[in-house]
Amino acid sequence: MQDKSKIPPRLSEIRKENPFSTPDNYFDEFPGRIRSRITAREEESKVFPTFEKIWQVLRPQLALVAIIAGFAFLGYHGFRFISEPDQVDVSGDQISEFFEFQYYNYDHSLLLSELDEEDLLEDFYQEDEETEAYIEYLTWDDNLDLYAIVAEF
Amino acid sequence: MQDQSDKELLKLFRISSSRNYAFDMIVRKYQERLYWHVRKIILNHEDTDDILQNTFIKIWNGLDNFREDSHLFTWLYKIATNEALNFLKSKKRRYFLPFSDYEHSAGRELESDPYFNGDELQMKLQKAIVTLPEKQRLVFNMKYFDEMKYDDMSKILDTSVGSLKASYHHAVKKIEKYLNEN
Repeated sequence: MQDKSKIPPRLSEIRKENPFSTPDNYFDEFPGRIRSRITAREEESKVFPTFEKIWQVLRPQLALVAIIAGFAFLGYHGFRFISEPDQVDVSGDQISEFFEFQYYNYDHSLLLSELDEEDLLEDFYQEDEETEAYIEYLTWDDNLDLYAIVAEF
Repeated sequence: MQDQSDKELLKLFRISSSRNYAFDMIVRKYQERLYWHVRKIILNHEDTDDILQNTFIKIWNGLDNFREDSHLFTWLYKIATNEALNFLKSKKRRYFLPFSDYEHSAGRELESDPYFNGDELQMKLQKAIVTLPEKQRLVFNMKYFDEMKYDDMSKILDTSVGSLKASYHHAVKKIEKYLNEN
């Protein structure tokens, strides 16, 4: 005789009972819980009835506007992309070249100005002081000899 | 008799003074059948409880528009089934679970479920059912445990009777195979 434990279990041999259970009194309490959820939702809708009504009226219209705006946006850019593809590519390159040029140019001048700014100003002021000294000398005590200047030039 | 009673409840529901009473009667009448239907799909109690609550909220919101073309219980089962299947889909999506992982996690959950009182063979049967594709699982549970008629199942699942019979046949074969191999 075949050992019973080796017989493969088959569907027909399994007890056809519900193997699941629920917490105690679950079905007694469930209708009350549903009732309180529905009441809470109704209270909420009473607090904001006007807003809800307005929202319910506006919602489909806003959705329609959003869809139309979306199609218009896609249509406009799609049309531009199809009708002017070269211009878009060239302008992209130009933009990158411009930025590259500006970058190096800016960097270069910045470097120069950083290095030379103090010396250049010093020279300028020195030159200015010398000029003033000449003018002062020439205008002081009638040192300005017009005949000598005319003869010189 | 049952149809008459459902019709009466629907009539009472449409009168504002008896609306709450009628809905309460509908909940009491169908809560257990819907609970066990959802529980066999979902397996654990907490999720089943959430789904059952959402099902009855949807029923409350939609009962005014129920046209009585079908039986009330068919409509209720349909809502509960959709809620349960949507829950499963969102759960798999939320945890990025492929089907095989879902199968394993559902099996593990069942082993630690305090509200599962079955013996070893019943546990094995539930694990076998979890391995079935969604539709076969539904059909097997509804036919094998609930002993539902194919005509009623056809209305709930929007599937032909022939297709349901084929699904049940495949499901039984797969379960037998699983039980023999495990």
